Amino acid sequence: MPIMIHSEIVRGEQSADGEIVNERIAVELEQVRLFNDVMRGQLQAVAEATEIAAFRIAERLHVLDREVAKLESITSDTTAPAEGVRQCISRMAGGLFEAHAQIQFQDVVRQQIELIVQALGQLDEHALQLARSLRDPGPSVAQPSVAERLDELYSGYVMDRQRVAHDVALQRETPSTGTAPLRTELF
Amino acid sequence: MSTVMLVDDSATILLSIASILGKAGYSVEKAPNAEQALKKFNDGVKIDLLITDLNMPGMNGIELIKEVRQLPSYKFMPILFLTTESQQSKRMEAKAAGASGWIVKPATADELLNTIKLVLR
Repeated sequence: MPIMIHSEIVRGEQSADGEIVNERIAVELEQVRLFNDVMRGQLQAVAEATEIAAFRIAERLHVLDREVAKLESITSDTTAPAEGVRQCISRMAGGLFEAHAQIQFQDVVRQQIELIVQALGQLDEHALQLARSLRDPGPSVAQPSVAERLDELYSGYVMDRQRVAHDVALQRETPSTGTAPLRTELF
Repeated sequence: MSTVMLVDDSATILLSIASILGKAGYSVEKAPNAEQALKKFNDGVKIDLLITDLNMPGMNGIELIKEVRQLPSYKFMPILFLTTESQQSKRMEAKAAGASGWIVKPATADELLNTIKLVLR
């Protein structure tokens, strides 16, 4: 559905007062767009910072892996290594294994943030078109409504947690797909 | 020693998953995108298992495996998706394209290694 509210406003006969009001709203929308730009930049910076931090952690873990492997090698050459040392090394190796796996959180978070940045870009476009319509009450160009933009956003989600958060925010039920999908599945 | 081709646009994922696989005794070939992975396949690099992300800039994971399945040497190679996507419809699309299994990120080391063992059996 195209944006109707502002289209109706701009199509009607307007007094000088009406034009002033439209101009004020347009200026406000531009301020909102600036705010939006700042938020997008901040979120992008968060995504980049977590990516850098996660990569550095992964690099350190990689170095620790090699050190643990060396320790394993040294103790295997020793005729009777202390059992406590062996157990300690084994625990370290296990911990490193899981730490490597946990680093995947960053990829999940990055994708969530990138989609928010993209959505804010759509909001920006919406505000821009609205401001243009207010300033230039010519023939209106159909723009996607906020509801349509939200639907488009929904279709772009790649995780169930995104879909659920979206549905919760809109106070609606998440469509049920029967049983929850398995985290690991062989075909 | 089996060789695993790992494809993901996240450098962190490549490094961390490669570390897990390396520690478990696998040889790992890494590619930061589907195009580079496909080049390695076209070059005939020996690969026993492909693990790929789904959503990547450029060619996505499903497009990649469709291409790989066209290559006679890799027609029956196991292919796993390691992705944040959990939707059933995407899994079915991947299965139709020739995938052997699906793992949702973040996966534990056990989930990952157990699944790899199963498909390489």
